[in-house]
Amino acid sequence: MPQALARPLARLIDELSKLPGVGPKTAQRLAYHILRASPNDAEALAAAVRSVKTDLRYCSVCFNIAEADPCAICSSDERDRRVVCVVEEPLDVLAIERTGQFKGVYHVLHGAISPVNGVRPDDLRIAELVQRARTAGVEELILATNPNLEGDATAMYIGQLISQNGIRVTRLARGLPMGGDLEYADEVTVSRALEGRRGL
Amino acid sequence: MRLTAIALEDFRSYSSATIALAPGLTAFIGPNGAGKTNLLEAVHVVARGDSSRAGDDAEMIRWGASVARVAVETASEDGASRWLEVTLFAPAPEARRRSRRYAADGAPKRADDVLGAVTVVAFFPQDTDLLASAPAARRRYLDAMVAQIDRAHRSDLRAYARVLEQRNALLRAGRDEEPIPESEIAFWDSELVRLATEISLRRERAVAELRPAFREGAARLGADAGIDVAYAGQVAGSDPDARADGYRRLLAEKRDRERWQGTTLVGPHREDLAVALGERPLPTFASRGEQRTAVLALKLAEAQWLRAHTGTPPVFLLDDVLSELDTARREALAGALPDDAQALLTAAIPTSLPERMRERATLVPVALGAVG
Repeated sequence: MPQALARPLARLIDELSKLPGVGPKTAQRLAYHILRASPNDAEALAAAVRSVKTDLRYCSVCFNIAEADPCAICSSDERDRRVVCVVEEPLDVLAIERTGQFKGVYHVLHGAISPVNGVRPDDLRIAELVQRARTAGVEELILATNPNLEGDATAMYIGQLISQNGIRVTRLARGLPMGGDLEYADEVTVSRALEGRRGL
Repeated sequence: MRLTAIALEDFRSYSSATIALAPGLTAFIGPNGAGKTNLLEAVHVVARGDSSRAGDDAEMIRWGASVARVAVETASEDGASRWLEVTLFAPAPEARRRSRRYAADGAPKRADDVLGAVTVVAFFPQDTDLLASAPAARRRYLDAMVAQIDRAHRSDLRAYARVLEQRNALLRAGRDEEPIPESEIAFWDSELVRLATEISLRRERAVAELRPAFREGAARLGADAGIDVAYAGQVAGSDPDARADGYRRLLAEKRDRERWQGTTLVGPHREDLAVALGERPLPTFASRGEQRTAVLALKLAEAQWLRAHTGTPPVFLLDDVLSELDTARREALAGALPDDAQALLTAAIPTSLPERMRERATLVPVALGAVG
């Protein structure tokens, strides 16, 4: 049977369909879009993909994805290295940075404990965190893992390991989202918010 | 609260139908396969979320259609009426699975806001097997009953299932690879104990409250005098702290076996609802007829229990119950239904209704997907 689809195009479709959330149909649409795009645009996409693999590395202190090692946050003089905020993913760093409130440094675990998915403590950057807490004059650990079962499991596991070291371990508060309506919140969220209520 | 109408679109054998419901007793009369049971199933889906028999939503959608709608109209004591509606989708080939939609008076709602608004007590022919089937069926029955009055029970069960899944995966990994250190299993133990205590206490309390009504109902239906119901929990104690301690102790005791088997052996997923005569579990010796009587007594007790908690009697859904009972038990069942309760029942012929039921029932003929 003769090849109905030119080989370079078929290859692009195959590669695109490996991406999460992209099915065969979407991959075809994207591939034809790239085919029709200007050479500059297509080249820019290719360069961006390549650069993500060649120009990025993990920061050896916090394990965030960065251009330099140590990363801009870990090497900044304005940052308080005594307070470490522990997050699951690099995107969580972004979420906390956007607040502009946090002046400490980070530690990215790259996941959360989930035995069902084969993720155990050794698969995360937990040993590195313990090491870091032991040596670098850390005074407080803010556990900012996600408020779900896996995030809680991870936080409690880290809490157990660190608590003997005389370091203050805290967990992000949980409760109602800003701009939300109380009546639309689910029972678990409302009861957590009640538990975590504060004096005016 | 009572039901005033059922509306169906592409549900089972019905392409489109609206059936008005009278207060009190309604008997759907028609030959086998006419679609009587479908009407009861429709009410069950809106009330409890699950079908009495379909394993999959697609089974409930009329052949050839891709969407089915089931709605019931409810009227509360002050006369306010409300349509509660569930939309079911059949998975189309290649397409993404669409999940159910819930609505009240046409406005989209969350499942939890629609389910449980109508409380029902159902008896379908397959319920006869409840006592003889695997414990999982009885746990499901008990949980569905408790969830009707306590929404926290539903969310605790979901959370418990996730904890169990994670903990089992961990134990399996420990069996197949290196042993799991205690520090890694500690979190799953504490979550297991927390949820096990909540779930198991709620179940036990419900069964204890049910018990007097069960024994009374069983006697009324002519069952053996010593028949009894109990919650068979792994640990005792009605105080939450004592119970949690019990689970913790049991976990420690079974630790080695759990590690060796690679699965969780402690928790409400190993507990049961036990119906027994003296020391003997009923299904080991009782005939099908005796088992049916016991299940009916359980359901009648459930109705009283629901009424005590919600203030209104539940709607009874009785599918083809009468034909399987002898005359004395039919009469007893007719007498056991509360006078002010609404009941929907099915029968092949009107004469299977006991005299006292036929007098006060509204008879609705059903023939091949058409009602009335």
